[in-house]
Amino acid sequence: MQKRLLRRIYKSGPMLFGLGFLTPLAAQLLIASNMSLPFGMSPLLAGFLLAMALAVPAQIRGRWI
Amino acid sequence: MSKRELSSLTPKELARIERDIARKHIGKFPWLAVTAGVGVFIGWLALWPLVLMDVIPAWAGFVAATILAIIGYLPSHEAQHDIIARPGSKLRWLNELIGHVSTVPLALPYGLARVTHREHHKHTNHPEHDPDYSSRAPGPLSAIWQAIQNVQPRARGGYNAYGRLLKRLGRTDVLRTAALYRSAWFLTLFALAWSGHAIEAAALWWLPHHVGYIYIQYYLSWAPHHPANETARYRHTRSFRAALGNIGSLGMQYHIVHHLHPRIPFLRTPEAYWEMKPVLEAQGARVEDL
Repeated sequence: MQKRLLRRIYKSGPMLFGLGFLTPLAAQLLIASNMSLPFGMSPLLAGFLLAMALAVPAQIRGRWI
Repeated sequence: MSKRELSSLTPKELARIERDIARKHIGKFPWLAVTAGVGVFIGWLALWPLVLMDVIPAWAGFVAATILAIIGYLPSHEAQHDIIARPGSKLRWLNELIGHVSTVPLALPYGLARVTHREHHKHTNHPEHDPDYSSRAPGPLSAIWQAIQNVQPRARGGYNAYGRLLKRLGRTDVLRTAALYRSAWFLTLFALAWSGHAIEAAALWWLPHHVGYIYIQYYLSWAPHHPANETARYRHTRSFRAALGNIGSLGMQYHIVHHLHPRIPFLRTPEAYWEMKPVLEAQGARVEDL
């Protein structure tokens, strides 16, 4: 049970990394660069979308690049 | 002894001369490795308040943290080979302390590094048993690309190869500790990122971890063993002339001496190499480039 849970977490690595690190990183980079975002989007939402654009393919392909 | 005289000796006699030279360099306390190990850790810790309080910019912190992460591998490497203190000796705690703290900037679990590195020594260039075999590549650029590929989530090499090796060796204790270490690292990065310090965390820990790993893979795994197609004692590692010089290559130009005599402290390998070179040539070692 514990082993299976750990395996599942390990296999979801790219998605977890996308949510846990890349999302706030992208949001804070957008804030720091003073970029104006389209559709009145918040930096956090934009960060989330950017992070997912990287994390979802990484999750499927098993590689970031 | 002249080259001609050396060439008339048997491999056993040559090995004896080689051992006598090695013995002169073994057993001296590696003060610099200990100082560097502690210094790297303290220096890296000091970068955090400096960057968080805007004393230095994040990019400068990134450069410094990456250099420290790369340098930090060397004292840990000395500890992996028990060069600072042997098991059971009075200063053993120092050996283990240096091993652990100097690779914190690189986020590399010391136990994992020690076990896998020793297996690399035992089975250098063996396609199945050498955990660093995946760094093999036809040239420098492809070696860098290969190192990047090795850190991908479903890569054959890198941490996944280390995991497979530890399972095969039955070292689930080391595997478990390494998994906990890596999880704690990721959770720390996540916590820093969500508390508003993502850029600092990326500059001081996440990026240095990756750049450092690629650099170390290149100079410690790929360059000294290239083309990694021989497994014999005198043929699996070579001396080479690095484009970045001996310091830029982390002293790996003389890596052959380290593989032949792993207990020679890192800083003494150049001296030992030049003393040993005629003997190594007579043994048929790959020392023609330097």
